[in-house]
Amino acid sequence: MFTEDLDQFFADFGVSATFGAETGLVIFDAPDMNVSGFDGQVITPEYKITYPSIDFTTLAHGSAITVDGVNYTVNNVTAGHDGKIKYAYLSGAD
Amino acid sequence: MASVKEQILDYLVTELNGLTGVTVSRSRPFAHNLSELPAIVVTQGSAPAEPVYTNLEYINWAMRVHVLIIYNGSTPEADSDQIFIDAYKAVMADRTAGGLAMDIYPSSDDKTFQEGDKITMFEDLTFVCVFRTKADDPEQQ
Repeated sequence: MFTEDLDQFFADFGVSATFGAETGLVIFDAPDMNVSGFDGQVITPEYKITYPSIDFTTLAHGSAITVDGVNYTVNNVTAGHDGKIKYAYLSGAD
Repeated sequence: MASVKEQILDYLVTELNGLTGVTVSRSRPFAHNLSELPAIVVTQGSAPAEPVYTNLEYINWAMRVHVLIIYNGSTPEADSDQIFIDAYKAVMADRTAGGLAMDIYPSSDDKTFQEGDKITMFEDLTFVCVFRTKADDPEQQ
């Protein structure tokens, strides 16, 4: 049976993240997105990390995390694909 | 000369332009960058009209004007409240809009929120502008 090695996936493109005492590699994305309401529109970045589910297991809304040396607060966490990776959506500092 | 409704909208934009630190524009279909926020967009809504039956020379209009407040932050409702207050006062300071309207009054206030880096709040503060034009000429009161 094929056993996934997620470390390979994060080794090439990952950046260091620290949550509490735990450090691991995550993939960081920050594309712009367009949000709208009524007749208004705003372009805003969407900060997202992708990481192995076995890491940062208690990461949740409101958690503080440092990604590549920058501090963020977690908006929400979702599981992806087969559940072995997760996504966390982040807010930058005010 | 512009139509009376256009003169009223221009008047309101001019009044709202007096707000410090707020980007004010008319009917803007293009997205704002975060550096332009907070922002206010003034657009015309529905403008039902009816004849003045005691004097068929005139039409009464009740034009909705949307004052859309756009704010981005971690706690946008609380942080944008002063903009709401200032915008409300700017519109209601002269309920005749410099003599163009018979009355202006608020009709609704709605909010919606979108997640991005921070929370973007869109607050639709709607006013009704009641004004009268000549039945045969929307430029004439």
